[in-house]
This record gives sequence, structure tokens and C-alpha cells, in this order.
Amino acid sequence: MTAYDQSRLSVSTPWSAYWPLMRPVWDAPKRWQVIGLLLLSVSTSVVSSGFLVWESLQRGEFISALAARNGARFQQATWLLAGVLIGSALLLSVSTYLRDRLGLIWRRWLTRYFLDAYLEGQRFYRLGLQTAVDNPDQRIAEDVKRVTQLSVGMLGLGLESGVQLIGFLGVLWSVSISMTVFLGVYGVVGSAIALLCFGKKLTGINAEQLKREANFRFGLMDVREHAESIAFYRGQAWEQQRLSDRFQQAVHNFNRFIRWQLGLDFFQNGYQYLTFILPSLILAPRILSGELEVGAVVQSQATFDRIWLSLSLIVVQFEQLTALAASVERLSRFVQGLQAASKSRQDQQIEVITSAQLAAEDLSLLTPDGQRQLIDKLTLNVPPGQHLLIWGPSGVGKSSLTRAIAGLWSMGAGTLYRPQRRDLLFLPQQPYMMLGSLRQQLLYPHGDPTKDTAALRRVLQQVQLPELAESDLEAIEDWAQRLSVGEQQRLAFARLLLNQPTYAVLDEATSALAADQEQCLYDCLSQTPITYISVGHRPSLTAYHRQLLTLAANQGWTLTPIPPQPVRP
Amino acid sequence: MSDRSAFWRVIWPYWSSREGLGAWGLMLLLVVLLLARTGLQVMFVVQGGELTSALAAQDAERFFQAVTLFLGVLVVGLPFAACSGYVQRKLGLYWRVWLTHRYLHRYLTGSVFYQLRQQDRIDNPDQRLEEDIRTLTQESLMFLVIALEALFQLIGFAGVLWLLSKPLMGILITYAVAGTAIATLVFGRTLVGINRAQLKREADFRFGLARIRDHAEAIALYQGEAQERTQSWERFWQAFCNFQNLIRVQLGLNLFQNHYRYATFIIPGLILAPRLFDGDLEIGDVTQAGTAFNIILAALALIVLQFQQLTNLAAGVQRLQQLDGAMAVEECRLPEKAHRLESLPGDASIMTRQEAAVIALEHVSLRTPDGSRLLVRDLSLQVAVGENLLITGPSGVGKSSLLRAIAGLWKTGAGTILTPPLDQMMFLPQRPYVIPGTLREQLRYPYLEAHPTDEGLIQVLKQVNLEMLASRWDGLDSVQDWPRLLSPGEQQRLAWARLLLHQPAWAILDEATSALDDANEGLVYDHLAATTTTVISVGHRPLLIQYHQKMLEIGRSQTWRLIGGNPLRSDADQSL
Repeated sequence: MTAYDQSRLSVSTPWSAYWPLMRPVWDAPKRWQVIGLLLLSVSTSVVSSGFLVWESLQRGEFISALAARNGARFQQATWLLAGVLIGSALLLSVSTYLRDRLGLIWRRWLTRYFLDAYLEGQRFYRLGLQTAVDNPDQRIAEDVKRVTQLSVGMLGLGLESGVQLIGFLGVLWSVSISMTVFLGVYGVVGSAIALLCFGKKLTGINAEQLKREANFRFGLMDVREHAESIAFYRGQAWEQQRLSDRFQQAVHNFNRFIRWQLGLDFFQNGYQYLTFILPSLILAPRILSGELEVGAVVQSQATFDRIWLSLSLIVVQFEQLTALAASVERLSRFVQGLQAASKSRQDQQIEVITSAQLAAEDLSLLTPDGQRQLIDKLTLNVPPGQHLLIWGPSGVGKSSLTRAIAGLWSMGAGTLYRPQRRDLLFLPQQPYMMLGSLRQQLLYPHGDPTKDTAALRRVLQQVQLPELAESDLEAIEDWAQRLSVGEQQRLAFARLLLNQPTYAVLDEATSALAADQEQCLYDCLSQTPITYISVGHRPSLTAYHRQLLTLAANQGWTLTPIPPQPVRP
Repeated sequence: MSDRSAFWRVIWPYWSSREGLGAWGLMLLLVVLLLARTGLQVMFVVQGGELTSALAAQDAERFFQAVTLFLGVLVVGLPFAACSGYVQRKLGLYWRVWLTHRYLHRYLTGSVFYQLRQQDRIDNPDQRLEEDIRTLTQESLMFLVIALEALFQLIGFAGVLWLLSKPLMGILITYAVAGTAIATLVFGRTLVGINRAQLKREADFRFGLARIRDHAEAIALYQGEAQERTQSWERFWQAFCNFQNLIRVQLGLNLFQNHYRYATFIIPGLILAPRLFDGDLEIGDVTQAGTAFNIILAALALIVLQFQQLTNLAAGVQRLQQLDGAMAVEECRLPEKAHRLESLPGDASIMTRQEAAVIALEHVSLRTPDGSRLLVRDLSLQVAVGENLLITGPSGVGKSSLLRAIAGLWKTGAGTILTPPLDQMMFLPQRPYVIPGTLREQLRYPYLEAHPTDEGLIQVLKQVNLEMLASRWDGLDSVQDWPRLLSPGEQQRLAWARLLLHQPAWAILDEATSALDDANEGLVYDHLAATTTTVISVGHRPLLIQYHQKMLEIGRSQTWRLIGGNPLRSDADQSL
């Protein structure tokens, strides 16, 4: 767990953190549409606030007319008030709608941006190697939603409050100057107390809460993903305790939250109730002396209320603001993490040169943290047709070598020559089944989507999946659940045969298959022009390869040619 | 709706449990606080009207009396107002804790979570357990508080208004009922549906993203980024379109709600005007009536005003209901209740389980859980103590499924399975499951009550050639992200370390050495052979044969062959 850096959080999120989050909309192709919507939204907000000021004036007039028992004045005031109310309700609804739409469009582009950035250049893989950015899925799904919705909402609120503040202050100024001054001081002092006493504390607690909830949720997802293994181990009690622990942490933090909230409630309630009476107290002498009408009290009470609401926006919208600040913080760290993931340290890098042939020269490989050397000064060459088999005890770094070939791990020294990445297909040790139809499954990752069905069925027959070959290729199922690991490995092999890359790297891609099945697959493979590099344990594999690389536990290695031998029929 | 009883099944258990007693106490306190709060509010309004009247009458003495009273009420009332929020949150938290523990317990009892995953009937149980429970407990309490407050206000202010004007009261009630009816009938159904769909689509989107994180390496190796992006975007787009619908419907609701609310500013004045002009009423009465009218309307039209929250709550409760229902179905199938199931029609094809000192299958025919595919036909065999069994066969014939049946995870089929009690058997699944946590926890898994010594732990690590793990990542107690740090071969050896540490009477190994080289495979099997554990292995490699006394060969088209006796080695060598 990374310790949460509280000092970097404050309620007022710096503009610099916001800008990267707004860029995607700014760069969007339909920028003018967004700007138009923003302008429209701002202007409806402003106009509807203006209506609100007008409305409160009319309400005062309505009461004064009643108090004066003046029939004609009352009738006029009623009509005017009714008109203002209808307009105000209309404008308010429309401005809410526009704001929602704006937030949604922003979310759309921001999600797009994060998806692109996250999935580009293996950043999602590299982010997994660092621990600085936890739960990227939560950041993309929830924090983006929260930031867009809340900031647009806050912008609207801020605008409305500003306009109302000016409007009502004007109204109030005409009623009583001393009251205006008093109110200003009252509002500023109240906001300052709320911000300084409760603001900092609650922001930190809220951010921590988000993190702990996410931890708990991630634990639950873990159980779902590994359901079968856990069921086999009967690790339920264990999982339950682990999840309870995480949940308890969230509860513990929430307890702190509600204690602080109690203090804030006391302050807020007292503050707000006082506003009920203050205008009457201040205006009383002048009304009692007959200088003002009683409607002025109603007017200034409403005004007082509104101004307090505007000034204390920060206090009233506290929870929202802290949630917003925490989310902006999480997203800007995500942006930083994404940027950091695309840069890497220059000093200890393996040099990668694109060439037609796969080869390594004095290649030394380190783990991504640079802590441990796995392979020392490896030199080899894999020309077309010279299939390579990699052997070695478990844990010695065979898979890591394939990661280096893929460019996932880049710490080390020496030079790696390899063809363009799209001419190179990897079959990882854990077969990966994507969500989707069997056709998509087979054409993953970049097969030609128009490939005809007969060819797909033929390949399924080739890899000995006759039942799948006869099934509906468009059916969408949870393949990782439905197929056994062996079947998944054969499906992965089918991908290989369909994609026809120049080079293929098979990392124990047949470990779950019986020997005869494995032979059958390799027979198919050796008839294609694909040059392959296999990682495996079984001696029977040597027949299909021309070179043997043996890795030893002390970072040493030996490369021996395998004489061509007749493949057993 | 027939869901009513199911609704209570989600809500009620806490309040009828033992902890529920304390909760009722807190609830009582909350009610008292709310009552006090409402009482004070009524006094505020009355005093506020008095204040206005005093000002209008230009009576200074009456005004200052009203101010003093007002301030007195404020001082007394403040703690009640603030504390009710605290008690409400606290109660919500207690409820959430209780509900989460209970659901977690049910989810992780027996193989409920596994069956749910297998059937895929319930989407995103994690979201239900975390978010929906949180929403349910917090929102429903909040709603309850609002409703209670509304009720109290209704009673308090109805008195005030009744005294002032009876026609106003009548109009008020008609207005509130009409508004509620329109909101529920016109917007209600649509919004509930859209909100529920939104929750599901957001969760799908997030689940897809979590998958990318979990399978990062495989995707990176395949260069499947473009595919994943298209899919994630597709899922987001679903949520996006639904949300567009949502805000459109909300625009309608807002238009209605705002007009509805604003009209109340003018109605009391209009109705009371004639009596005021007659001199029957004072101006303070009109402002009082206005406030009372607004508050009562808010109380009566609660459903209209709180619509958004209510639909959210309803969607959350419904998702919990589904989880509850699905878990209840699975719980019925747990061993102790299994007999109930046999009486169910259509479920006749369930294998019988019996406890015994050996593992034996009698005329077992095994099907996939949906019953569509027969994997093994009429299999009988017995594995006595000390008589290790090796299961071989081509991939996809159902070797792992047979182990699932022995573990009691798959039940569809016919015949009888005899096994020792489940706690005497340890399964090592094909995909090593490495938990996050310390190395010590890693090794103790899955036995909570086991507390081995450090020497014992180091010794088993040595046995599987992993003693460097402790030194490489500072000791047994440092928390590491093991699934990421360890290669599959190391993960499998770690699983073996668990096995050697706990030494169960029976071990069932599903290709538990598939990622190991021959030397390591031999090493771990040698160590296991030195214990008293009886083994059933699934595997392909010829090397395994020497560690087993019997071999079951499962062939395609549901055939099988049992090769027994001690000269197994020479006999089987030829067959492979």
C-alpha cells in the first residue's frame, strides 16, 4: 500500500492538475460544439440566477402588497410573480439539463483519452509493475465520472452563486448598507472557519475512504476472478478474513469521518439558524420607526439566505468538493503515472534494433526494478527456419527472456535485434481468453475480420477442437470459464495459425496438452513458414527445433544446435 | 409487486437480529431527536410569523419578546439538529457492517461464490457487496429520516395551517396527491429502469477494465491493445447512451418538479388574500401559512421531491435481492441441505456424495454443469490410502472436471462419489493461486488455524527450492505483490510448499507441476512421497508414473481405462 500523501491535497485543486483533464475535450474534433454548449450552459445559468433575484424581489412585493391591503397592487404583483416563477422554473430545468449534457460529453472524451493512453505502448503493463498507481480501472470508470459531473456541477453552482451574490448584494445595499457590510463579514468569517477547521481534515479522510473502499472492492473482484482456485483450496475462511480486514479498515476510517462531520454539523446548523433572525434584528429599528415596510424583512431574509448560500458554497457543498478534489488528485496522478510509464530510465536499457532476423548480442537481462540479473551476456541468432527451444529450471528467467523479446522488460545491457512487433506473435503461458465471440477469439489480436468462416473452422479442426469447429462462431460466451486450460491453449494455437506471423514465441504454450496433441500441433506449425521460439520442458519438443538454449541458475547459458532428425510419424 | 417479500428479505434481517436490538435503541434515539427537531422547527415558524407581525404592527415590546424566545429555541434546538445527523450516520454504518459481514459469509460459505461465477447469472457480485450495500444502508436510512421528519412536520404544521385556513388545507392535500401521482406514473417506471440499466452498464465497463489490469501481461504479449480498446469503448458507449436517456427523462422530471415547487410560493397568498383584506388575518399569519404550506407539501410530496434518490435506492435493493436470491438457491445445494434438492423436479441428475475413508467413484457419469455434455461414462474406481492414482488423457476430455466432481464443485451427472471429509483433502488447482500478503500467509493458506514455526516454513521452502524467496524479499513477513513477482513455475512450487507444510491425508493435484522442469518435478514428488499423503494427480509427463500405483486413462468419446498393480511403470511406459 502506498502511503497517502495528505500534504499534497487541498480543497482548492490547482489549475495545473485540472488542465490535463480538460485537454481531451479541447482537442476533440467537435470542439466548437462543446464550446457552444458551454457558452449556452453558462448563459442559462446566469439568466436563471438573474430570474431568481427578480423572483425574490417580487415575493417581497407580493407580501408588502398584502400587508398594505391594496387590491390593485396585489393583483399586479400576483401576475408578475406568476410570470417570473414560470420563467424561473423553466430556466432552472434547462440549465440543469445543459449542465448534465456538458458533463457527459466531457466524460466521453476524457474516458476516450484515458483508454487510449492506458492501452498504448504497453503502459497498462508497465503501470502494473509500479505500485504508485493503484486500481486504474476505478480511476477510468469512477473518478472520470465523478470529476466531470462534479466539476460541471460546481462550475454551475459557482456561476449561479456569483450572479446571485452580486444581484442580492445590490438589492440589500438599497435596503440597508450596514446590513450588507455585516453580512459580508459574517459570510467570510463563517467560510474561513469551515474551511480551515474542517476542510483540510475532511478532505484527507475522504480521499482515504475512497482508497480503502477501492481496496475492499478489489479484494472482492480477486475472489471472483480466482473463484475456482479458491474453491479447490477451500480458502473461503481465509478470504473471508482478508476481506473483513479490508472492510474493517474502511469502517474505521468512516468512523473518523462521521466524528468530524458531527463538528461540522454543529457549526453549520448554528450558523444557518442564526440567519433566520439576523435580518429582522438589524432592520427592526427602521421598521418600528416606520421607515421601511414589512415586506423589506421578507425580501432581505430571502436575500440573506441566498447570500449565505453563495458565500458558504464551499461549506455546504463540502462533501462534494472533497470528493471532487480527491478524484482530481487520483486522476492527475494517473496522468503522471501514464507519462512516467512511457518514459524509462536511459542508463540501463537494452538496445533494440529492428531487423529482419531475431538475434541477441551480449544481452544481459535484469528484473524491471534492476535488482537481480537473470541472464548474462547472451548471444544468439535465430534465422528463418532455425527454430529455437529454450530450456532451464523453473524460475531461471525463461519467460523473462520472452518478455525482453516482446519489449515488456527493458532493463539490462546489450543489443536485441528483432523484426517489427506485428511480425512477432506471442503465446503466453496463461492463455488469455478475451470477452467476445469465438470468431473474435480466433482473430485476436489482429487477424483479418473478414476471414471466411470455412477457414476458421478448418483451423479449429487442425488444432483438434472439432466441437468448437462445429459450433456457432458468433456465440458470445465466457470462454475462460467454458474451456479447459488445454482447450484454451489449443485455441491460442489456432490464433497462431490464423495470424501467420514471421516469428512466434511460445511460452509453455502446450504445457496442459498430452504429448500426442502437442506433437500434432507442432506438426501443423512446422509446415508453415513461421519461425518459432519455444519455452518448454518436454524432451519430445527437441525434434521440432534446430537450436537449444539452456539457461542455468547461475545466469549462465549454453547454445547447442540440434541435428535434424526424422519426426516420428 | 411480488418483489415485496424479497425486498423485506434484504432489509429486515438486521433489524430482527441480536445486534438489531442495539440498532432499535439507536433508532429510538433518532426518532426522539427528530421529534425534538421538528418541534423546534414548528416553534421557529410560529415565532418567525410572530416576529413579522410584531414588526408590521410596529410593536417594539412584542418584537423583543419574540426575538428572545427565538434565540432560546435556537440554543436548545441546535444540539438536536446536529446530533440527529451523527446518530443517523452511525446507525447506517452499523447496519452496513452487519450486512457486509453476513453477505460475505454467505458468499464465501461452501462453494457459493464458485457456483455464482460458473453460472454467470449474477453480474458483478463485488459491486453488489461493496457499493450496493453501502447505498442501501446509507440511503434507506436517509430516506427513513426524511420520511419520519416529514411525518412529524405534517402533524405539527397541519395544526398550524388548520387553525389558519381550512380551504388551504384541502387544496394542499389535493395538490400533493396529484403531484405525487403524476411523478410516479409518468416518470417513475421509466427512471427506475434506466437507473438500473445504468448501474449494470457502469459495472460492466469497470469489470472490463479490471480484466485488462489482471491480464496485462498476456494482452501486452499478444499486442491486443486495439481489441481491448474497442471493447472497452463499446462498453463505455453503452453506459453513455443510457445516461443520455437518463438526463433526457430527468429534464422532464425537473420541469415538472420546479414548476410544482415554485407554484407553492404564490398559492397560500392568493387563497388567504380575501381574508387579509377583510382584516380577518394579520400579515404574519400569511407568512406562517406560506412556510407551513411549503413544509407540509414537501412532506406529502416526498416521493416527488426525492425521486432520484428513491429510484437509486430501488435499483440498489433490487441488485441485492438478486444476489440474495442466487445465494439462497446455491445454499440449498450445500451438502447439508442437498437432500432437499433431490425432490425437486428436473434436477434428478445429481450425483450422490457419501463420506468414506477412501476416495471411490461408483458408476459415475459426469456431465458439464448445464447438463449438455457427457464427459465420462459409468466410471468406477477406488483409491485406498497409500495407493496413488495418476489420471491421464488428452486435453479436453474432462480430467479437471473429474477433480471438480471429487471436490464437490460439479454435481451434474449420475452415480455415487465417496470421499473423506473435505478438510482431509487438499487440492492444488491447475492455475496456482497466489494470494496477496506476506510469505507466511502465503504458506499458511488456506488454513487459518495453522501456526507453523519459522523453521518449519523455511524447511518447506527449501524442499521446493524456494528458500531464496525469504531472503530476496526480506523475510517471511514482508507484504509483496506475489502474483506479479513470481513466475508460474515458482507459483506452482509455492503451492507445493503449502502441500508439504500441511501434509493433508489426501492431495489432489491438477497438473500441479506443468510449469516445472523434470528435476524440480522429481524433487517435489520425492518430498511428497516421504509423507503419508495419498495423491491423485492429473498430468501428462511419463516421469510422473513412478510416483503412482494406479493409472486412469480417460479417452475421447467418454471411454476410460484403469491400469493397476505395481508393475505399472513398465506397462505404462509403452503406452505413452
